[in-house]
Amino acid sequence: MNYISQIAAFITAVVLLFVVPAYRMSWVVDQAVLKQVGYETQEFVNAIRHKGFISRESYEGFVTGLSKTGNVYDIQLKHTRKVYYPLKPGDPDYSPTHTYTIVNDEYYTKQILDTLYINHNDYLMKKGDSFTVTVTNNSRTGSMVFLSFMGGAPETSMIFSKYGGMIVNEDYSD
Amino acid sequence: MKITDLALFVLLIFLGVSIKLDMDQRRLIQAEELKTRYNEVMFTATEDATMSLLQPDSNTTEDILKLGYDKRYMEVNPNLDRAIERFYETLYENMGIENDKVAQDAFKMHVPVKVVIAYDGYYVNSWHEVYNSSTGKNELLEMWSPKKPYSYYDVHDKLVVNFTLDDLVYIYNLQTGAMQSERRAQLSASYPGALFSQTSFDNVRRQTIVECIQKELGYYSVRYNNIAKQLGLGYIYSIPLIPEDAWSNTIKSTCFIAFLQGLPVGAQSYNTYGFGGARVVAASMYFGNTINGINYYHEEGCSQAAGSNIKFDSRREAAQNGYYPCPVCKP
Repeated sequence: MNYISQIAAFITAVVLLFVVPAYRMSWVVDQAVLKQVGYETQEFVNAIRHKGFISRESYEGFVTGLSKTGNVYDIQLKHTRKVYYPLKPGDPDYSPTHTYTIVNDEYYTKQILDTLYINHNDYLMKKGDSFTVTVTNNSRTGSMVFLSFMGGAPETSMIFSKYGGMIVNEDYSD
Repeated sequence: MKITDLALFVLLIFLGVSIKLDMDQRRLIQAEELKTRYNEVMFTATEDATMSLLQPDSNTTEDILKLGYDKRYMEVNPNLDRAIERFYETLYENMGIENDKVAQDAFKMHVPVKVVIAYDGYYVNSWHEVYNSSTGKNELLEMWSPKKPYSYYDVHDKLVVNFTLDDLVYIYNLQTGAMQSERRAQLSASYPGALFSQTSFDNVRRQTIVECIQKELGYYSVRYNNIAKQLGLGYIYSIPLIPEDAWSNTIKSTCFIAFLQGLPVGAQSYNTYGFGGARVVAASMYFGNTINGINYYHEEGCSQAAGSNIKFDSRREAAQNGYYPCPVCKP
């Protein structure tokens, strides 16, 4: 009996003295990283929205900013382009007050990065388009490791950030 | 009992309390973050909506916008449908529900009132119960109110005064039945009362605009509560108190305001609002002239701008055409 209680006390002591504080600390660090990622993403999206194009410099600045947090991220870019098509009388949606239709074309990370790195061009967008960035953490952060160690279900990703908005300018020449 | 056993025993009791405290604390931190997030999203969405307000919705509007120079946006009808469409588009994108119709409809219920502040009146968008003749049922629809003026009744001169976002006023004289639209300066001569004096005019104007909109917001939130009750939403909507300085920034130009209400954050619900900013119409013009053989560009109202015969949309355009920034107004 004495033996069991000693082992129990020992395990509890280890958990309380080392594991729990370490987990708490890493959780706090993760929260700080989450804030930083959110901030970087918002900064990037707003810069792009007010300029109307993505350049290699701006994209790499964003990636560098993220990498300073020490994790690996999956960055998804999405550009929704509004294309205006005319409607003829006789088309199903046609009415005298509604003579054109808007189609949303979506372009994703691959097309955008191909433009930047294979064609060596800036990726240009038009006023009124949408631009969204989603950042997900891909690496296992400290708190996830501890959580699974203690038998908790590791959350798929603690760090997740999504920002988007309308392109409000076409300032290509700067 | 040994000391270790005692420690374990105490720990066992203490564990329950500490776990609860820990979870509460986390929930608070996460709620705090969610609030910031909602604020940012509302800011972006209303900003985008304000930009869309000025998109031309007809050929005539487009012509006026092209004239653009002397702030003709005042005469433009705001493109309300485009603005609300854009507002939701940005909201959904940021919430990650752009492809989820059910979530979108649920989310819409948290945005009871939208207001557009236009040059000589305001529009309110809210939920209305409308009879659909083809199905024979009542439907809930989001609809724009007609334009409502910023009205004020002047007891002294028996005038109905409709203000605008600048010093133009529409007045209706109840005694003579005359209608006029004049600048404040002209009116202060014919009505020497306090209303049109330089000192009080702006205060009365602002006060009137803010009061008009606040009254309207109160009315629509009560209305919406009735609708929400029918839908089984347990939340009581109320319009938050908006600080004075937020208003004074708002009522300078065309603007889109929206209220986000009753979103569950942690154990409570969260309310916020968004103002689309004034920078939309702050599109400034630059004026070019030649002084001592050198081309300069000026800001509007610069003392050196006399004899300007050319206008530029941007400083860059001016520079591209060989004009230098004026040393006086430093554009």
